Amino acid sequence: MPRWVKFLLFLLLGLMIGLIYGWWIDPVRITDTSPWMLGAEYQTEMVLMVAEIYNSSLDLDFATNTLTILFMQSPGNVLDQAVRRAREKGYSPEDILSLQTLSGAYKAIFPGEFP
Amino acid sequence: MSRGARFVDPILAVTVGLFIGILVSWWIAPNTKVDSTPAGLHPAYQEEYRLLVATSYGISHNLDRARSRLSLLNDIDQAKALINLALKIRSGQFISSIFPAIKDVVVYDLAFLAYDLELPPPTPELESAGTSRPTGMLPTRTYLPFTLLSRQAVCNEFSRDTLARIQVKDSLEQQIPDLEILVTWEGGQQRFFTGFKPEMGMGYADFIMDPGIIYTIQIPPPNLALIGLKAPDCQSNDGTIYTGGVLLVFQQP
Repeated sequence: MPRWVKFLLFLLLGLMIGLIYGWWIDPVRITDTSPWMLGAEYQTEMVLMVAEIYNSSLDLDFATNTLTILFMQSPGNVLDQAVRRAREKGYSPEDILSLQTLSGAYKAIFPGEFP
Repeated sequence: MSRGARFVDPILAVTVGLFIGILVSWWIAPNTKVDSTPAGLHPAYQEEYRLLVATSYGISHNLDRARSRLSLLNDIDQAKALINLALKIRSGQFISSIFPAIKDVVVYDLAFLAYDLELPPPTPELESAGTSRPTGMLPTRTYLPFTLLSRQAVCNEFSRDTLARIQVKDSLEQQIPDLEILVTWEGGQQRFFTGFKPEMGMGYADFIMDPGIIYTIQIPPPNLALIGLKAPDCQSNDGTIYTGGVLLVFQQP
């Protein structure tokens, strides 16, 4: 076998080891993240907390501002996703109702955002 | 090719490959699909998360859920983290972006969640007998009148401080955090809260008394007024007189 072929094979071996190590064994750790980078289930939990507070205070400004600040996107989308995930993950009916109540209140005020 | 040179090529090739692999997997195309948990949030967002948990707890009184939510932050001491946040808010070191106009009730929620987290869980016997209290309906939430349990002079010849040390407890001997105390004197008044020196106890607060000034202490509501509080005179070993402090313990009956 030519020398350069051997070199190339060993190079590929090293490359594979490096990739496996960097992608799976010790991947880049995400720290100092923002809420919108959280895993879906954690985002849903945060939205649920906002919904719980809304259902007590009925302060829609607080709820929409909070969702916008935390998730950097339209509160309507955030709420729709949270309701869907809550259903998928088997949240309690009370939790789903909390989310739906806030979502409904938001849609009533901002109907143009929804088709 | 010499025997040594036969090993140089493979080692060099593997090393170069390894370097390229690490370079690609860490910098050029990192695997960033790892879901982040609340523990990975920026510290400021972690504080916002705590605020949300505490405020939500103030509404639902679901301690298990609050504990579970806080556990995602991997705090060593969840209660202490909440109290630290309350202190930072009170002192202006932290301004929430989601609660820009911090209301007292938010700090109150933080303090009470911290307090409830520290309580021992209900015993199984009580649960089975159906007599356990739902969390959030603890007696400290409904302010019962306080009585002055003890009042004693604190004479420390070395520090010679004139601190009025105040401890507030509920009927179960648990110290009560974030309780507002009003101190008035001729020409002035000061409001402060228990729990700002957690190392002294969650129901502890103090203020410096000026010699000769007569103070009135009130714990609302309903107001209990301790009238005529004055820094006591103490005597040192060599017979000199100096001004000392006091320790006041208030408790719900």
